[in-house]
Amino acid sequence: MKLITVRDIAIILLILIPSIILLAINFKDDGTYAEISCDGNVVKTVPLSEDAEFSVNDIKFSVKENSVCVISSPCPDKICVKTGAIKRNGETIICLPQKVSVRVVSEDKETADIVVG
Amino acid sequence: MKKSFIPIIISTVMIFSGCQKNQIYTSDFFTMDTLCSIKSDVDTKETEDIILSCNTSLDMYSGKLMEFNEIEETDDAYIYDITEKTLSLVSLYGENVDITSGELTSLWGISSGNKTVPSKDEIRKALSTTGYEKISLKDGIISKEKETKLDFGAVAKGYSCDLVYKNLSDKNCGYAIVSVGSSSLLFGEKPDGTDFKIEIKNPDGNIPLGMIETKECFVSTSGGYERFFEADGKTYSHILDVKTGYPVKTDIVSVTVLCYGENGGIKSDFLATDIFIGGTENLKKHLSSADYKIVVADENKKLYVSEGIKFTPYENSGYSL
Repeated sequence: MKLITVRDIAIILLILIPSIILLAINFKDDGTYAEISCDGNVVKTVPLSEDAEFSVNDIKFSVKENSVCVISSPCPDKICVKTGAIKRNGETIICLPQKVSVRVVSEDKETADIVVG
Repeated sequence: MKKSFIPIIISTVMIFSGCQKNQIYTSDFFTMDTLCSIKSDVDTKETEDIILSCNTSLDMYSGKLMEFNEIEETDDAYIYDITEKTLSLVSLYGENVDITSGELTSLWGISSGNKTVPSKDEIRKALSTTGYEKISLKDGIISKEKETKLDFGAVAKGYSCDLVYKNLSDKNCGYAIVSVGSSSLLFGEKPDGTDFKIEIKNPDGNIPLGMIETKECFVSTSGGYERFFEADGKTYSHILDVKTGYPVKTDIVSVTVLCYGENGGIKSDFLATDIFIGGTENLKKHLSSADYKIVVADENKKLYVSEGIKFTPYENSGYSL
């Protein structure tokens, strides 16, 4: 009797390959993302590593140089636009009139738990 | 291959790729005129409900406080409790923070979105309705003069953190970060056992002022740069000075206050505003206080930091000790 049969190898591969794929998916979140929420619910997640422009609830966002900012908003006070660009874990831009918020989320352990001020 | 292998393969795959981290619950929502966010190892629903019921009682433009502001008496438990706690802080730290300034707040249109510069006459009239002598507490009933309007904007967020703290302690929650706008609660201990890390935003730049490392605490901030409006070419802070009736003039641009233990939320919220209004000339007593810690930045880019706080300033923030 052979020590390892073809069937054994097939079983090992069947276990290993999906495991590695699932592990890779778990580790994929290493980067830094911007989570855009409407009324508290995340509606869009974008990586800060790729430059982009998009709109949520008539608010125009720009992702550039690993940071995100609001370019324009229909709200009266424009506090969200004045907040400027954010890039560090936990930083937020809030537009109260439109009930839209943006939060930077990073998996990096060295970053802050909370950004205040 | 025999069918019976399939479940074995699936479960082995799950074990290999698994080791799911402890579940962390998160929630974001808008209330108290700000964004609230919760991150915790227990379900967030009760915490949400506590903050929402604070808002139901304490928001100036809706609910119980709006009703009470038109009349003379109420037995609302939240309004009574927060007033009682504010009064004891006033007796300790003075009257920079004035919860009777609601008429002035409305006049300036703060929080209501209607931002205008009032006339001198209007301001004089509004000021005549303010003052702690206008309110009194007795046996669960709070009374005030009819014209006096209460505004808990400087204490309600911290107060709601206190109620959350009590609830989380009762539930034996291990870890939570609860932010109610400018006031937050860092509860328990992080799953990895390290200190909480708080970064302080730069009032006028991208690089934060620095990082605080701390055990469980309440943290509140105050600054004139975040909420302001412009009219007639001037920039106005959202924090009003009840002595003048105008937005406060101060040389401080950012205040962060850390308090510890029961009722630390309302205290940190109160002190952040109090210290901001007081300016650097009144900082000395706060810097040497044993029961709370502060980090302050002034308009000359100088940082003031309490003894005994673990604060690492960042290079190139433009601010220095």
